[in-house]
Amino acid sequence: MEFESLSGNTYYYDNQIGIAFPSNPLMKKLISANPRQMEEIAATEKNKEDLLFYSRFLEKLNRIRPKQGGVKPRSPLKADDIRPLIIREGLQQIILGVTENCNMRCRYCIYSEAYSLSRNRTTKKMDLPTAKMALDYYVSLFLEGLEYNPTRLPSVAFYGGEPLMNFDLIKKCVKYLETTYPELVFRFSFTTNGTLLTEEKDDFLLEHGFFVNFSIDGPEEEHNRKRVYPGDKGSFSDVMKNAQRFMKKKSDRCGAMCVYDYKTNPFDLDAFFSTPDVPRLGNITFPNDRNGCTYYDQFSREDIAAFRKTMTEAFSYYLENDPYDENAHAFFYRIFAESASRILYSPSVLNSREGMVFPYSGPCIPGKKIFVDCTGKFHLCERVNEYFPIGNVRTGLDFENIANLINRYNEHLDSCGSCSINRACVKCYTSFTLDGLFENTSTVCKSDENQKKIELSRVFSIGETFPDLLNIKVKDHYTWLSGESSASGD
Amino acid sequence: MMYFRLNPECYYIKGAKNGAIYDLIEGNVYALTSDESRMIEACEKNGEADPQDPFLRDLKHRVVGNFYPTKVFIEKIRLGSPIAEYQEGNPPVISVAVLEIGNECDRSCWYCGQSGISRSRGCLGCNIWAEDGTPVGMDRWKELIDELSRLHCMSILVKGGDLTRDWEKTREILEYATEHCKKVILIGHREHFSEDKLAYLENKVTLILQTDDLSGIGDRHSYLFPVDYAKSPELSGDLPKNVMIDMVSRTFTPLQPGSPLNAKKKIPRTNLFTFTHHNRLHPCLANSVTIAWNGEVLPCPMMRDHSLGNINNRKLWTFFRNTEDSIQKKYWNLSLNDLDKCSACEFRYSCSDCRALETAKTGDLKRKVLCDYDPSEGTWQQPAA
Ligand code: SF4
Ligand code: SF4
Ligand code: SF4
Repeated sequence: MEFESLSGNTYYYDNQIGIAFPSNPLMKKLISANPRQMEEIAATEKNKEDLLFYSRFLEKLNRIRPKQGGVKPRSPLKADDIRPLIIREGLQQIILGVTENCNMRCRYCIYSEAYSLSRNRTTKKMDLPTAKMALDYYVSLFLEGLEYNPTRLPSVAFYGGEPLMNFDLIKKCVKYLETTYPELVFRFSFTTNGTLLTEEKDDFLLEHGFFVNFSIDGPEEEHNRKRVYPGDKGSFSDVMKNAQRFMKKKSDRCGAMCVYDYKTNPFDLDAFFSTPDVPRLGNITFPNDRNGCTYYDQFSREDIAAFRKTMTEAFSYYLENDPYDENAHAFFYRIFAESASRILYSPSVLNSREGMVFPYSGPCIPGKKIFVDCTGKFHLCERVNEYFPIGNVRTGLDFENIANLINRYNEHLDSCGSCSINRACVKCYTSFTLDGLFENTSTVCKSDENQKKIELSRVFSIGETFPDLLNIKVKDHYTWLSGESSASGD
Repeated sequence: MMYFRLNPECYYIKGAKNGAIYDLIEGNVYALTSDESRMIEACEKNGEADPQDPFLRDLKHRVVGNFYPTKVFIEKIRLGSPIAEYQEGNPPVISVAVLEIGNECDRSCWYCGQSGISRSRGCLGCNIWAEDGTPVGMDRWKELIDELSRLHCMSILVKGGDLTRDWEKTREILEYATEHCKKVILIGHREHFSEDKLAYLENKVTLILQTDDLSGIGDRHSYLFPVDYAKSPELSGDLPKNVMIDMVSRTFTPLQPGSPLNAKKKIPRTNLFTFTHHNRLHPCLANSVTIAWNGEVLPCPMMRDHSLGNINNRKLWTFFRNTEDSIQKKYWNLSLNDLDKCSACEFRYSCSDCRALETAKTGDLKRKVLCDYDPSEGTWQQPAA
């Protein structure tokens, strides 16, 4: 697959090795040539030096090329395969959905009418016995797992609805864990719309080391377009008042999560999140477009085209205006530089996927985290609808069911073997879940190659001028980096 | 004007004075002069390059780099993904656990650990130690093997003096180890094993035999051949492939410039795996753990003063927890980037290092003395004529 950077350079993405490199007409001919064509090229090409270089470079790459012909599907997994996997690699977090209720009516909420395949808002709350059973089960597996994976730390997140609508339970859970398992240090976090936070709640959260994610979508008009109370009143001023009070107490224990869409002006977001009294921007997402979603019906073709155009302008603007300054470009730095870094370094290069649980794409093993709903059912992720339960508080994780789920997921990867970007794919369940079924990749993955070209084009455009900007996500892991010579000898 | 960039598989690594190019596919490490280093450094920053420059043309001829008409970005080849693999909470990878199941021997080899001597490959020798402590009991050894198997340990290396003195114990541990681990290695002195013992071992384990005499060794096992460091220059002729030289010295001083322990020869070739590994981890200590005869947990069989604790009162997994005093944080993560001299050296991602020898000499975990190279000058100390 070929793509172009902003400056017009052509690159060839080698999906078997997993990297892209500069390409030109001669290289392109050589890449696709069979031995007879090779001889022809050798006879006619005038620049012998280049011919020699490119053919020897490609030969070199062939020496490390992972085995071709696609990955053989491994035999279906059984329940017995799953438990050890989860004990060793899973259990990174338990997420308690402490309530299904919410005091707001955000327009893109997956529990709203805009999503026909996920549950709707209810008044259900989790009770203390259910929460305790879930936590005890998690801790028991966690403790057993220490002998298999001693480096993991226990992590508990609270989720909703709006978790603050059941704050009493959150408090009780925290106290229960701290008194029952004093030898463990838990990491607590939760995501909130922020409107129900009070001084007293701030203090409790900070005392117990919580990390608080505020949902803030941008400046007032942008935020209030999407995040509203019943009756459509915007929530901006309430969230900001509470978030800013919390920040004054401890600014490094909170962050902002932002959802944007085709009507968002990225320049406005960049200016807003770069103001010092707004929580540091963390997660940035587009509304989920699966699960029978109707949210996108509001956008016309023109909206989408206009948005893409503005994003392209924003990208050029960002590159021309001190892209290293994270504080001046809170939104652009994340959406362009950090995501480019992730795109470059997330996919595994050169490792063969032979024998892996998932031959293609990048879902986690169910049980990596456990999402517990109000009734005590376990689900594979807080972002996947409720048609894929993986156990419950009374009987624990259902390993048989998890094995089935993985096998069924893998059966639906029907077009991955011939997909031109399969080595770089990080799609997961959220892309394919219907009401209890998975859709085939051949139905879902239509314009992925184009999307990948746009992404890679951004990555390489940044790399041509600011190579070390691509390293921000891996700085702590590598002392040498792509495009940057190590300088510790200075 | 053109630009010149190194290929995806070739990395330029900068030292205090000079740089080196690592070709991860061919395996070559090219040591550059300071002028060449400056030129490559400028090129790698997308500075303009002269297409007629003989040095750059030579690199193109060696398929290490190429000229481009415009500024390009070169994505580098690597192994795996740092984002996926270095996530917090990933289980530790233990490639080898050394179980020193005994500490007794009737021989008195001049190179044995008990005489307080340093050995360049002492970790692969049998050795006994003049140390206090109570030997770990059979039940605890078996439990340890269970614990190792839960930690997915890839191989177990059994050693510790004369393993035939309590042959029943050795056999019981080997049987248990082979049931619980795919690969088991045994180290002992060649003189200790009778033919029938060897026959038993051959079917069970990989053998490394220490020997003072290379006659009649054959090619079935690996041998460790201790050589007096002072006499090492006399060693001549090719050795069989299955023989490893073990340099032995009380002090390793005066350091003879040009000796195999400190000379340029010790810099091995590079490859994708070691380059990725060494940039984060110690080339030798990483991914291994040693449990001494008395239960002390050591980073390596030769680092006797570096105990992390004792398995008689702790489970093995507790040494791998996410804490500052874990074996990973203290020893595995000690890459050559963290050593005083090597951090400024362009060979730091392919070079080898024996922390046991270095700390025995200096008492300092982060010092480097067994090396003739001076990265700040870019010069090798030459042997006296
Ligand atoms: S993009 Fe779709 S078809 Fe391609 S590897 Fe990913 S899931 Fe499979
Ligand atoms: S045979 Fe091994 S343990 Fe025995 S004295 Fe010699 S080196 Fe030491
Ligand atoms: S020992 Fe250190 S300083 Fe010496 S050559 Fe190796 S990496 Fe360089």
